[in-house]
Amino acid sequence: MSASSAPAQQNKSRIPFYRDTRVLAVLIQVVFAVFVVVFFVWLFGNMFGNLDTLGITDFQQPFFRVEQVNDRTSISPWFRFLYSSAGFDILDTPISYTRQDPYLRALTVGIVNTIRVGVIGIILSTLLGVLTGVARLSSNWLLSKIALAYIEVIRNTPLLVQLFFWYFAGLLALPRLRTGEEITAIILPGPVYMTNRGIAMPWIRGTPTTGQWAMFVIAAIALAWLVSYIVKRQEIKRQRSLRRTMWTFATFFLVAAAGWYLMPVQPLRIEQPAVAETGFGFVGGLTVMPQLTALILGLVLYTGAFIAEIVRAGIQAVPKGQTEAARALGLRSGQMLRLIVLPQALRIIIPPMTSQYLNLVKNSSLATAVAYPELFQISGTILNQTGRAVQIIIIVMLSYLAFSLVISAFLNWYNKRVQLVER
Amino acid sequence: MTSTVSAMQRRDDRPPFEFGYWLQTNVLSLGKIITLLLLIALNIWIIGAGMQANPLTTTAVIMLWSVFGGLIAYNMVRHNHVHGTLREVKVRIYTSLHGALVSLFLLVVLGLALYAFVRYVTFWPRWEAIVVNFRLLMVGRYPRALTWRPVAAALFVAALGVASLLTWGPVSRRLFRYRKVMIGLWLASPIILGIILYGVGAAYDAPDAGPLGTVNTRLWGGLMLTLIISVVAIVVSFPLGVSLALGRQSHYPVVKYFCIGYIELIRGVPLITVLFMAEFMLPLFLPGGLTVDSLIRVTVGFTLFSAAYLAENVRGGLQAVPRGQYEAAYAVGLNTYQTTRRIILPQALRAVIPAIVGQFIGLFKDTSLVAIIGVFDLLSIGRAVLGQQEYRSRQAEIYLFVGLIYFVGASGMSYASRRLETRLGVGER
Repeated sequence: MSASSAPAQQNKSRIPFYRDTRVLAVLIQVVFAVFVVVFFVWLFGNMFGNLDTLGITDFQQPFFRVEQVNDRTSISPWFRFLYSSAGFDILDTPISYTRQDPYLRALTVGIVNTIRVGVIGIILSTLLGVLTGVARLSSNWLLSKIALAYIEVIRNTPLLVQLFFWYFAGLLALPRLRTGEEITAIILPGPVYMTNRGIAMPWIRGTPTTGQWAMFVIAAIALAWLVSYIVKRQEIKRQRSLRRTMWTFATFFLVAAAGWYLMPVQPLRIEQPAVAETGFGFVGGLTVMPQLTALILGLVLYTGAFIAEIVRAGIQAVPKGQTEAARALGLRSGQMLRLIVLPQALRIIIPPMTSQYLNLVKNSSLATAVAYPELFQISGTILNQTGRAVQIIIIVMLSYLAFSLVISAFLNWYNKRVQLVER
Repeated sequence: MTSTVSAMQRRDDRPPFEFGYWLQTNVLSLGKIITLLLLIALNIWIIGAGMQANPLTTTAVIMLWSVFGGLIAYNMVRHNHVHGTLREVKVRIYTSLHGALVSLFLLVVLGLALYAFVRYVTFWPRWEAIVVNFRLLMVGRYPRALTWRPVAAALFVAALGVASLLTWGPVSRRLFRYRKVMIGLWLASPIILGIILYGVGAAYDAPDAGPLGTVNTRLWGGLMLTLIISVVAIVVSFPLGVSLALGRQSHYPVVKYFCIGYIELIRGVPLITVLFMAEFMLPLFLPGGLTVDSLIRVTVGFTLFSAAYLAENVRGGLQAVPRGQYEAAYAVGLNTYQTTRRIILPQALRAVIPAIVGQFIGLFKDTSLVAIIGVFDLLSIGRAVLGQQEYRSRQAEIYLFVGLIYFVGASGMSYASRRLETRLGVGER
């Protein structure tokens, strides 16, 4: 930089180009780029050569020579195989799927299953983690030590071992539904049947009037929001609490309940499982297959332990003066937690929590160990059938990258909202 | 009001309850320990014999337990500990009425769990699956005659670990100057382990093989393989991760965006896809005919994966180093390499030791994932044992045992990390 300010002096004792940082910077980067490019060209050259010898000819045509698959879709020849018939069954299909459907449909089933496991897992592990994190800080010695033992044991053993344990030693070790004529399943009150083929429990079912009642619920939410808004304005105007939360919830429940009793038929009913006439499986209720149960159980217990430590650290990081000040202002302990401690702890908790959620979704790929058909397991099957390793790995990696991006984008947005706005 | 205040004062005055002290005065005397051990051994023997000891033995055991309990009770009375202990129980467990109810509930649950666990654990014949297959679980199908080599390797790593603890530990400050030797030994450890375990020269079963004949990695397995993958991946991924972190901070956009791309790509996908690539796609990327050992492929996968995460941890440390440190270093005439090596990295790495060790613990646990792609690590061998007809129903035992080994390893590492933190004064200025 001083070179430009004193060009005359600089000209006398010119720096040789190999010691000039500007030249060096360009040179180093060019060398680095050339090295990287050559390396990748070498890798992919090898790959195309090897694929030729293996007899996979997808890559011999250029990527952009788009082909017509059917009258609505066209696709690059590299991914043409996705439209051949899959020919295998999937254990758990949240969207309609038969074995005649193309591979693309099978992959979609896998993606939906992954999203489902991710959403359920995130919700449950957050609940478990927050509860355990608070229990860890409890003044009850026993409770806090039990929470500690749970956290330490879970955090220090691999998730895969835990998944195997829950699946093989836990769920598959449950008794059979029936041995001969006698029912041998474990029956908990509800009734909840626990068998090695799945856990059947009562579940909420809709009736013909559910749709109409849903309208009432939407109206109830709108009204509650309106009431909340009006009460808030009054609170600000009169400078005192008018129990906004109570009024909001009261409005919601009143309208929703009115709707419930106005319906000619009960809008929702609880359906209980019963052993099927054939003796295999159940009729009614909800039957969760052991693969899914083991996966959710393992993921939730594992991630919950990590979240508990994050929550504990977050709460402990709120300065003691804050709680003391809250007490001095006369806030009740519930108010103190809700208005003072949690908002501040949240700022510390959210960034590490984001990475735990990402871990949970990525760890759901271990479902392949318990044979639950999510994205990774299904793509493994497709890979075995078609041998298109490169394309499959690209699709799987891009899908997981997309999941990661969506989750971190959402939580970064939320994080921005709760962060302290500094002067 | 005043009574509450004085009660609170009294509460603060009392010395804090020390569990170690309580143990020392109430349980830990030589005689009592010996009695306790004898009793436990006797109990295990009786349970092991299928609960079929004769009534006389049972009576004797019950009497011994009573005497032992009586001794403790007597000791508590003699040392005037009853009051303190009861008060402690009250403060810790009976905090309030609903607190007491919670405690009671937890005690019942805990008691039941403990009862079930003890009954389960002490029923000896069930652990046969592990006792019989112990060798398999430890070293896989490594030749029986050459078992001394894995043992020697384990001793080498253990000695290295102990020496590291001594060097960085609180025993003697004079040992601290050997740290460079230790780092050198750690960096050389993959090669040394390779020579001990893989060997040199002819195959071990060839007629002209020496004591260090080569053993194909297909015969490796069990805990040995788990430890090898962990140690090698940890040792190699450390310099790689630091380089990536420095690259991400680089002023050269090409280098910087390459590093960012690499780190974010690897961090965005599950480990199992990276392992899958290493195992099934690496052969595709190499020139035809060139094959790489499966173990090396897997270890490379772990190293590449771990390096990306490590780079992010190190970056946190680099960002925590104040700008003034760079400026001061340049002001005294150090060049970029010297500044990084002497000023920045020592501070940055020291600040992130907990995160780095946490990452290594994660890596150690994650080695279990190779079971999915068919490498015979500890977990995989455990599953192979479960494939044996007679041990098919011993699922819980095998997974508990495998879990216990991982637990011991991971806890040990986090203990060592806390040691290192105090030694290097993390968090102190």
